[in-house]
Parts: sequence; C-alpha cells; structure tokens
Amino acid sequence: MNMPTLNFPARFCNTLLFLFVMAGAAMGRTDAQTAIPLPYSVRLPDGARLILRPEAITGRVSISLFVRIEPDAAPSLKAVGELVARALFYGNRDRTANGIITLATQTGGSYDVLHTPDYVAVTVVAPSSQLPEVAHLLSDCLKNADFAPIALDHARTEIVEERTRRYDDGLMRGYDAVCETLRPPASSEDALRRVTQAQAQDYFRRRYGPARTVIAVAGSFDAARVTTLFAAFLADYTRHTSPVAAAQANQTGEAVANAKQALTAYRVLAAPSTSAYALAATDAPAVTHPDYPAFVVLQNVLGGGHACRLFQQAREERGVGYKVGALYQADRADPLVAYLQWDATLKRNAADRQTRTDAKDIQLFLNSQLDGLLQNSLSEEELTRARNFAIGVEARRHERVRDRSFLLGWYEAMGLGYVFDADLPKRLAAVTRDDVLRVAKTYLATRAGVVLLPSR
Amino acid sequence: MGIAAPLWTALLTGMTVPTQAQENAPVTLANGLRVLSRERRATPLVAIDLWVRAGAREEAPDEAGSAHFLEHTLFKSTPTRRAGQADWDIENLGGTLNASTGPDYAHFYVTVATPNVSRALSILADVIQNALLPDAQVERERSVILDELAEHVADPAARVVDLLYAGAFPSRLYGRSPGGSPDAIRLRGRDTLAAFYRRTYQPTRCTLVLVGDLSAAQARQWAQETFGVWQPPARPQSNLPQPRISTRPDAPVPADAMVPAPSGTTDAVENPKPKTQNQDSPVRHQPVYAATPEAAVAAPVPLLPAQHITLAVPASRPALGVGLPAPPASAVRMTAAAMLVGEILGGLGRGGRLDVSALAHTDAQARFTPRHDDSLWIVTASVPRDSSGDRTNNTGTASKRRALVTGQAESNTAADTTQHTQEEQTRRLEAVLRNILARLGSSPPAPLEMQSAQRRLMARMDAETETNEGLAAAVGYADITGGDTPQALRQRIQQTTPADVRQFVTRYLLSQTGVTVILQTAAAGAGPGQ
Repeated sequence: MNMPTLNFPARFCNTLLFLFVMAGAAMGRTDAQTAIPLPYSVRLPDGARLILRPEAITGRVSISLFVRIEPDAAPSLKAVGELVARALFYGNRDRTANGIITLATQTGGSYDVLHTPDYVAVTVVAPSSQLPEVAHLLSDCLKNADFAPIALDHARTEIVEERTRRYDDGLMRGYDAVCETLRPPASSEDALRRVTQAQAQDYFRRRYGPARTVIAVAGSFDAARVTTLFAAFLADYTRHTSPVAAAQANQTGEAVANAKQALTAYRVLAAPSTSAYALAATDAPAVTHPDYPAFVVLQNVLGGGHACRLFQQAREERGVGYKVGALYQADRADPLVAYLQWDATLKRNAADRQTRTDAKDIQLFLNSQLDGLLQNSLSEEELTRARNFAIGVEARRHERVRDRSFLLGWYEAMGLGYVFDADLPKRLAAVTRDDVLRVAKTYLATRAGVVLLPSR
Repeated sequence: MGIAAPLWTALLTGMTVPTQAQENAPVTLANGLRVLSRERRATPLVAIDLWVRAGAREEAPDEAGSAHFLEHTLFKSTPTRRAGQADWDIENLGGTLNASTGPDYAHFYVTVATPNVSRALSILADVIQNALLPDAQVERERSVILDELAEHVADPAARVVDLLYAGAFPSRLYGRSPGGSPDAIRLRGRDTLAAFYRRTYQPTRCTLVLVGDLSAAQARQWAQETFGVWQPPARPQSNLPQPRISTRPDAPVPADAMVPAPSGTTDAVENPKPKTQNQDSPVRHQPVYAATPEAAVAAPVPLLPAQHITLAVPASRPALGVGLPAPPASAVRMTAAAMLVGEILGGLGRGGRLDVSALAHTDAQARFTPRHDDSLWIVTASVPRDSSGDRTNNTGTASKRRALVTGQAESNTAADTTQHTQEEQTRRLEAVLRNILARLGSSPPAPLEMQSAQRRLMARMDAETETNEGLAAAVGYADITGGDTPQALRQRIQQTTPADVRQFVTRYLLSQTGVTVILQTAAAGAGPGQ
C-alpha cells in the first residue's frame, strides 16, 4: 500500500493508518475466551514491520527493535558492523550520546543491545508512560545515527569491557574460545580502533533500512496509538537496502568444512583461576531450519536440567564437576556447547586410591556423551523428559515482558513469522526419537574442543 | 503425563487478567509450617519456594559446612526415590528443582505449570522430609561441592564479599562463608549431616511460598496435603540454643504473647532478645519485641573491627571491597534507606554517582542484602584494565578517567603492575569512594536525584519480581530475615526522605572505617585480544 509522504495532511495519514490498524486487528487472531488480542502484525508505510502484543499488565512496556543483517566475512567489515550495532543508539544529529540509556535508567527501565551474525537487536523496557519518548528515540536513531567519534569511542569501550568481563570468567572464556573454533572469530581491538565515522555511516546506510526492520512491542500500551506513533516517527525512514539471504542451514558455515572430523584433541588454554573447564562445541541448525525443534530436544537430552545425561553421568555417577550441561543459544547463532567445570587439583576417590581428575579423562567423558547419541542410544523415557523439560523452559521464558517482545521480534526478523512463538511448544511436543537420533547424526559428528587449565 | 497441551494452549490464549499479585493472609498449618501465597494469573505457572531456617548460622563449630553439604545431599534419595529420581520427576513436569544456602536459610525452589503443582509439591515434600543421605552419595557429593568451591573462590567479587564478612564478624556466625570452606567440607561425615538435618529440618522452621496461578484456598489445600503430614520431633535433637524466630509484622500475634506489641508500630527492634521455644505449648511462632521506629534508630550500631585485608589471587585485575556496618532486615526504615543509598551511588551503568565519578569503568557497585542479624553495606570495584588502545585519541575520555583513578599516566602499559602499584591503585579507588560517601553525608541528595534513585530501585525490584519465582524468592527471603514484604518495601522506599538517607549515611557509613579488602593479582596476565 503506497502511503503519502510527510507533505500530505497528517490527519489523512493518521485516519488511513487507524483504519489499516483496525483492519489488521480484525484479521488477527483472538481468543474467544478473552478480550485481549493475540499478537498481530502491522506493516508500516515505510515497509518496517510492527508486531504488537498488548497485555493487561501494570505500567510497563518492552520494545524490541531488530535489524536483520548478514554475516560479515571480512574482518575489517566485521569490526565496522560490531561498532555500528553498538553505537547506533549513542547519539545522532539531534541528540547527545546515551539518550536512550539515560531515559531507560533514569526512569527505571532497562536497555540491552545484542549483535549477532544475523541481526542487531535493542530491547528497551520502560514505564508505559515513557513509550512515546522511547519510540521517538529509537526511530530517530534508526534514521539519523551519525556515529560521531565520541559515540564510537563509547561503543568501543563497552565492547572491550564486556569482553574483559567474559575473559575473566573461566566458563565464558572457554565458551568464546570454543565457539570461535567453529565460526569466524570476533573482531580484534585493533580492528575496532581503526573504524572511522565515514566507514560506520556507509555501513549503516547500506545495511539498515525499513525492509530489514522489525519492531516488536509487548506490555501495557494502546496498540493503535503505538502504530500511529511509529508510522509518524518512521515516515522518512526510506533507506533502500538489499534483501538479506536466508540464514544458513547450520550455524557454523565455512568452519564446518574445516572441522568435519570427530574430535581427537582439545586445544589447551590458560584458566583465569584455579578452576578447570572443558568444553566441546558441535555444529547446530539455525532457528529457521526444520531441524531446530528436534535439536532443542537433543540439547536437553544431553545437557538440559539435572536429569540430563551430562549431569547424571558426571555428578551423580562420578562425583565430578559442579557446572555441567549443554548450551544451545540459537538466538546468537552459537553452536551447541557441552561443558564441565571441575577442580583439577582435587584428589578424588577412585577404587582404592585417590587421584586427580585428569583433563584427558574429562575430554574422553565429553566425547563419550556426544558419541552415545550417535549410537542410537535414546530411551522413550529420556525423550519424554527432555521434551517436557524443553516445553517447560519455553513457558518460563515467557514470564518476562522483555523476553516476550524479544521472541516475537526475533522469529519475525528471521523470517519464521511471529506466530512461530506460539507454535514452538507444539513442534517440541511432536519431536520423535527418530528425529533426535537423526539430528544427532547430522550435527554432532562435527566438533571442536577446548580445555582451560590453571597454571601450576 | 504430557504437559505440552495445557502449556501451549495457555501461551496461545495470552494474558487474561492484570498481573498484580494479590497478597493473601499467611497461614500456619497445625504442624507449625508457615504458608505464604500470592495470586497472580498472568501465566499458567506457579512458583514453589521452600525456605528452611537451616542456614550456615545454625551450624555448631564442628558442623561448619553442613548446611550447604546437606542442601546438596537431600536430593540424592528417599525410601521411594533413587538418586536422581526427584530431578527426573520434576523435569518430567517441565520444572527444574534448584536450591541454595545462605547464612540464614536453605532455599529450595521450582516453577511448574498449574496442573502439575500438587505433584511437584509432593516430590519436594518427599525430598525434604525423607532424605536418606546414603554414604556413597554423600562421598560423591563431597567432591562436587569441592568443585563448586573452586569455582566460587575463582570469582574475585565473591571472594571479596567472603573476606569482608570474615573480617567484619570474625567470631560470629556471619563470618563464615555459607558454602563452607574446603577443609570443613572434607571433614564433614554423614552422621554430622544427619544430625544437622534432624535438628533443623522441621516444619516449625519452614516457610512455604506459593506464587502464581492459584488461589489462597488452593495454596492452603496443596500445602496441607503434602507438607501437613510432616510431624515435628517431640524434643529438640541437640542442646544448642534455639534460634530466634521472628514473626512478620503483619502476622497475627497470639493473645498470650509474652511481649505485647505497642500499637501503631511497624518496625521490629534491631536486636530482639532471644526467646526459647516452649516445647509443651501449641506449636507457634513466638513474637519478637516490637519497638517504635525511634527506638529502633536509637539502638547501637554494631562496632566492626577496623581491618585491612590484602590477598594475592590469580586474577586479571586488582579488586577492592569496602564493608561498612548496616542495619538488620528488621530495621525496615534504615534498611530502605540503605538500599536507596546503594541506588544513589548506582554503578555498572545504572546511573548514579559512581557512574559519573572517577569510579566509572571500574565495575564499581554498591551491594546491600539485609540479613537477619548482622548486615554489611558493601562497595566493590576493580582497577580498570589498561588497554594499549588507551594511548590513542579515540579513547581520550576513558583513558583520562582511568588515569585519574589509577594515578597512572595515560601512556603506561600493562607491564607496570607491581604489587606496590596495585596497592596504590586500589587505595586511590578507596579514597574516591570515601570522598563520595562523605559528600553524601554532608548534604542530602537533591529531590530530583532522590526521585530518580527511588524510581530506579523500584523498577529494579519490579523486574526482579516479574517472574513468579522472583516474587516467591523476595517474599520468602523477607519472611526468613524479618524484613519488609516486597509490597511493604516498595511503599517504604517511596516514603524514604533525603533526611533518612543522610541519617543512614552518617550513622552507619561514616561512623566507622569498616573493613577493606584488596585482591592483588598474583600474576599480571594478558587480556583478551592480545
């Protein structure tokens, strides 16, 4: 539908928008038993998509803004992309840096930025009364971010501080290291330092446009008013961008070709303290792949909850490890990561003697757990527990308004459609034993591992 | 039993009613177990929280570590469940059974869909009431706990907090880390754990909190069906002094209370006299003395030994912690003021005086968690990492700030990190912090700053209690420690004045030097990307 430009009388625009919204609401799903509409979608005049989930909660609203991007192969471009994502809301031609952060924190809200190979997302939770201001700020930055040196500096500092915090945590240090084995590494500090304002602006103009933009709003708000606001604020958000290719079938891309062999040796790194860590990463499907629900169930068989294989075999049977499990953060395009933390200096009872748990033992243990799923070993009871547990995790994941807006926006931005959020529990419930064993064979054979040991 | 159908149906139908939690009247079962519930129908989920007065403070000297050890080992097996079976059964219902140990409590919690609440409660009741503590499993869990402690001491922030409490309360129960020390864990035998279990895991020492998609009547019914059959032992199992049991201010006071509460009071006294439980009387919670807020304020502030603790640990950056005396949870007016002071200081980008001071980029943050008896108001910070990138103009502002804090010239490299230098750096951080506190004490915060801090604090509390589990935890913790309920705390924060803030700062934070902990890096290590 071609909408008039800003030169057209505003009242006519607003009237048309109001009718458009009402039509959209009428076509949207509602539950006969409630007066609250289910989430529904509105396409704004500029082409951006708005997903709305009005709820009868008290006084808060969450806005998740997504811009779909494609992975950057060249390291220099990757650094530009990372800085642009972080500095996007640190000022534009009309506002000083930290406008949104100040608004969010001073009014008691929160603000998060997530940059992945597939998208950039910012989620702001704020009092409902602040929604117009937040919407205006987000829209302003989407249109007019100028990446002044001070904004880039602020973003650079934040990235480095966040990496430092992760590096100081042994598990996170190992996690980042093992993920990098199966995908391109993060940009170096040197590359970040070399990014200029001109480069950032050029990247921004080519990648950030309405066709790639999804805004999901959940919480306490007036849907018609929110739609009108964003339509007005984004009326001149007319940047043309090329379509984004569909997400890759698997997470790890080119690195998979280099790692198509079962793991035989783990890379050894220094642990930041006296605790030791072993991590094994495997290939994994993207959220858009049909294998996604089955892989979620597989992850829970292996490392979800306390009745999973890793926990039971390590802690219950062997008395080894405190933090143990498997992570699969598909929203970050991460591989599956199985992990175990232990005290490498501790002598444990083994038969009639006390011995330290060797890093090699832990590596063999992790490998054996992954191999077990490759060897058709999966009972119906295990499958049922993992399925039910995965569905329970999904339910609890929806308790926070910020997660509700994030999930709607994520699925829509990735091309699955926001309805996937409501469909996923059904898909998890339908996963069979054959599905799990099939995805195990597809993805678990490709592995990489790291072990972090304290220096003696 | 499949849980998919009710869950995804509920997700599809979305929200139906406002999500404000309705606070129901507390209930005490005939066996003394206390039941608190909050009705909140936003999601088809219920959080189940059990708080047991079986924290580290209940340990005799030769029982050190037992509270934590027991929390781990309870799940192992019961007469009807083998090791791991309780976790399996709970996860088959879509939940995860978790636990934690603190100085004042052991805490067990799980969230499940509404149709599964009764079954989840019965599993939890079995674990709590009927734990067998088999020898072999105790031994295996000993290793696991030692692995956990290795992880704990690897966290500089956690290490700092442990050392602050140890320094502040060297001869008192709060001086011990709730997790126990590795040496203590190695020494604890199965018999000691069993004795601690029999003594402390009794219905009179428990509060069950249920939050979510249930009514008060349902909460009471389910609690009665699963925990109501639990009978307390006839006599105490040891000759240790009975712990103080405080009632919540909103709990009904028995007619034959030994100490009647003055009318119109809302604060409990800061240091209530201990009461011994009369074993021949009906099982009930004994009241504590209640006092007027003025009397509470007049009670003496605990005197901390002025200490300075320096330790070299494997870490990438030197860290600082300062611990100052703070009111117990029952001193609700000063507790609210303490929380607000923490928010006025802010830190970690939350907005506050720390973020606009020389302590920005030091991960500085104020922490205050009120405890039943002795509390500490804590600030921690780390010396900023000196990246070689700071030499460029692009990071001018950040590097200038770091130089002010560390006393280093902008061009210094990471190689200049002798322990003497680290001592200087952390001393500078401390000086900046004390200066900030002194300014806060000499002039109260402006109205705008106060309102902003109140908004931020309440928003943070709202975020923490947004989930049923978060709200249940806040309700249970308040009950165990004698503090305000989340709703009452919210009101009290709104009512706190700049004068209250100034009173707290001058009375508690400026009246003593407190305890200072400095963690130096044992080896100057490279950072990421180098």
